[in-house]
Amino acid sequence: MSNELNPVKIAQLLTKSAQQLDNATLSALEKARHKALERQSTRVPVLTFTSASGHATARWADRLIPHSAAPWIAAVLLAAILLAGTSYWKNVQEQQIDDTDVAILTSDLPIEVFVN
Amino acid sequence: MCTSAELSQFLSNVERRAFKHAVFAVHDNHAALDIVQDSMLKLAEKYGAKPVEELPMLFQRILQNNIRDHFRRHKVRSSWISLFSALQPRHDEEEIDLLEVLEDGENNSSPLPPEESLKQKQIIAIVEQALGKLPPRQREAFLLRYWEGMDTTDTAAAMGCTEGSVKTHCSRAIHALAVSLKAKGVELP
Repeated sequence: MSNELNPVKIAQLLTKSAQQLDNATLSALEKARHKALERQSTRVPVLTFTSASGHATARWADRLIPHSAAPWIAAVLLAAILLAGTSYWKNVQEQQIDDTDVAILTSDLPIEVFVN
Repeated sequence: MCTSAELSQFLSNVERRAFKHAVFAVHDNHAALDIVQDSMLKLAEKYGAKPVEELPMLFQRILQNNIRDHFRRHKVRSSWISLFSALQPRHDEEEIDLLEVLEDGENNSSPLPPEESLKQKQIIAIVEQALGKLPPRQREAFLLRYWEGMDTTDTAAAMGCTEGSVKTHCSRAIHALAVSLKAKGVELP
């Protein structure tokens, strides 16, 4: 019994039905389409290096770093920059303290130390 | 990467069918329009940079997820409504009958003679009613496979199930449709 039903014929009827949509619906669908096109993502893959082989490089980078991982990579990079900055600043401070200690021991303090 | 023209072409090809998919599922034209619009926006925003050949599967997946989200929201809303129903007067929502929707389309000019046109519309209405009564997964599989023309692999990917499940759903859908149409004495032209 079920073998008598031809799904292709059903599909044809459905297509005819879809072609008979009212104007209000068609206009709403068209508006929705335009809205969607305005928001089309034109995202460039992260960490892409521009080169002569533009698209190939972009796709390679996109495959290497998926978009979902991009925020995590950015966060890790930011954390690394902050860590490097803090350690550099600490190092400079320690160097200044060492210089002052040496100056005290050798009684060779610069004049600005005595200036209030 | 898909260009704006390619995306526009794809959306204009698929929008009517997508609307009908949503209507079969939610039985509400306004909700169906919202679902299709949301699906188009999501596709453009999140997958606008994907190759054009990947769009049909992605769009169908988004559409089906949005239909499911609609039912989830509807379920939550109706649970709140039932909670406060004793305090508030009941508002009967207008139910849109597919038959009425199709009858509205009679104003459109049709190349068929009136009798044939009427007969075809009646058959379409019965077929659409039968489709609307199918279990959601069966209807989804049937429409993707035979209306969207997707192969079993793509249908399975869009539905998030195995190819075996797609075949089972399709077979059951065809059987149920055949029984339903035969019960109403419909013979497909």
